[in-house]
Amino acid sequence: MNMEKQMVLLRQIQEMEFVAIELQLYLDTHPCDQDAINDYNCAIEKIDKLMEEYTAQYGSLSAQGMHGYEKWLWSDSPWPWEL
Amino acid sequence: MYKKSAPHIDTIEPETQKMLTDEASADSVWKEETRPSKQVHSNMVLGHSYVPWQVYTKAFSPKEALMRGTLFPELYGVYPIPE
Repeated sequence: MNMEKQMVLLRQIQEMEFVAIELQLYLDTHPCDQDAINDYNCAIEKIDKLMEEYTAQYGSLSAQGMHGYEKWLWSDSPWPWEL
Repeated sequence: MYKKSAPHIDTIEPETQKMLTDEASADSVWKEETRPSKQVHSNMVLGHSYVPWQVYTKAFSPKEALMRGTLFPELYGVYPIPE
């Protein structure tokens, strides 16, 4: 398993999720800021794409996901500190 | 016959009692001498608090934002991080 590549992808997801949270908080008080809305929508789109890519290669990001049909793979996937 | 008494006062330590008395006299001094007079200060207004309105014009890169703990450069380093 290419841990480094997996780590890079996971970090990108974490970064974009942080951007989305920051913009979400900003938009709570600035609901008509078009630039912020555009950037928020871009961030969400990016997160969806990154998560799809991650899930396809390394399995579900959350425990409530798909973990194989024949063998339970969730407990085989690395813990966050193993990445 | 109704006896005017305050039984709970008896349980107060003499030191506390003194403190309370001092406080009371300090309060009367405040009231009589220090308290701003309505007439003298009628042209003044009460204190107002405000926060400047945040405007979204620039942002850190996602990587930098996650590292710094904020997406917004104007919010970074406002309070120095204690050593």
